[in-house]
Amino acid sequence: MSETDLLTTLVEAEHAAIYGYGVLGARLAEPLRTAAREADDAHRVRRDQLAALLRTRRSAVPPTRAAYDVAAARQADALALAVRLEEGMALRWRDLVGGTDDRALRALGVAALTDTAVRAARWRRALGRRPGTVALPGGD
Amino acid sequence: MQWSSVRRRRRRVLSLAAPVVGSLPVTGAPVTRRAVLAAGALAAGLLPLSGCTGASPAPPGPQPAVDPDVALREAAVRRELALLAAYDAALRARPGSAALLRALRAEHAEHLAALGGAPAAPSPSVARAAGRLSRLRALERTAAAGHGRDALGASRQLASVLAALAAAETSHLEALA
Repeated sequence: MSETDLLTTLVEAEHAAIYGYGVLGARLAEPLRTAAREADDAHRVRRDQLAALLRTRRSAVPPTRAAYDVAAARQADALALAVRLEEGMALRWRDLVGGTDDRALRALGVAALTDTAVRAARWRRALGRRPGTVALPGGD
Repeated sequence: MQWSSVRRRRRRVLSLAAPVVGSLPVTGAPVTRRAVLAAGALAAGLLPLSGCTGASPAPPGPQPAVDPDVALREAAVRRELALLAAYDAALRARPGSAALLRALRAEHAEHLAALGGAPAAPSPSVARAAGRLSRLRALERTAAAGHGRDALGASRQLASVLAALAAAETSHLEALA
């Protein structure tokens, strides 16, 4: 996979994560709802960073879709969806780190992977799992 | 190709984790990132069982290139051994936190395995570990920074592992709070 392909895949996944947080945030009570809003903001920042990287490479930025196949009826569903969204992002950020020799892209990947791992652990703890961490974020 | 097998296996996980993005067909035997990296560690002579068996002197000619991964991997192993020792000390000092400490220690044991295992002789600094949680957090923070820094210059395969280790150590900070 080329760096451009990796960045494009990441933008598409960030679009989906942003949509997913919009759906799941409505199912959460405070203070979790605020945490979801902060996560949503963080994903928008990453999406915009990635889109800017694609533009500097004169590559097309994939648009967001009208809808994504996500649903959350209750708070537990919403938290489980948040965990899945962060785990999905972790996979792709790790793909970037392992798919480039560019130190700046690797540094971005390490920082973003770390953020997703921290958020995923928080959501798992909100589901009652302790300590909520995983040994190898982004898969083994 | 091994690496594409790794990717295919991960896509199978991903199709569960993120239904929003289409999954790819899954074929071939599962090969984990860890297995691939452990094989690399074996080749690099990091595991004790590789030993020193070559008796013949090096032939004249161009020197083989030094693999930068060897030193990076050893540094990461030292960080994980220091953490394991610190968790052992904390488990002795804080039996009331045993469940949490054991769970986090187990993740560091997985990190060590993902790096290909421990060298035969532990580093001398390991014995001086203290059992305070603040010490654990400081070690986790230092390890995360070291793993993250070394991920920038490692091979792609090792960089991927070091990035995951950096992320995991950072996630441990809040778990220890």
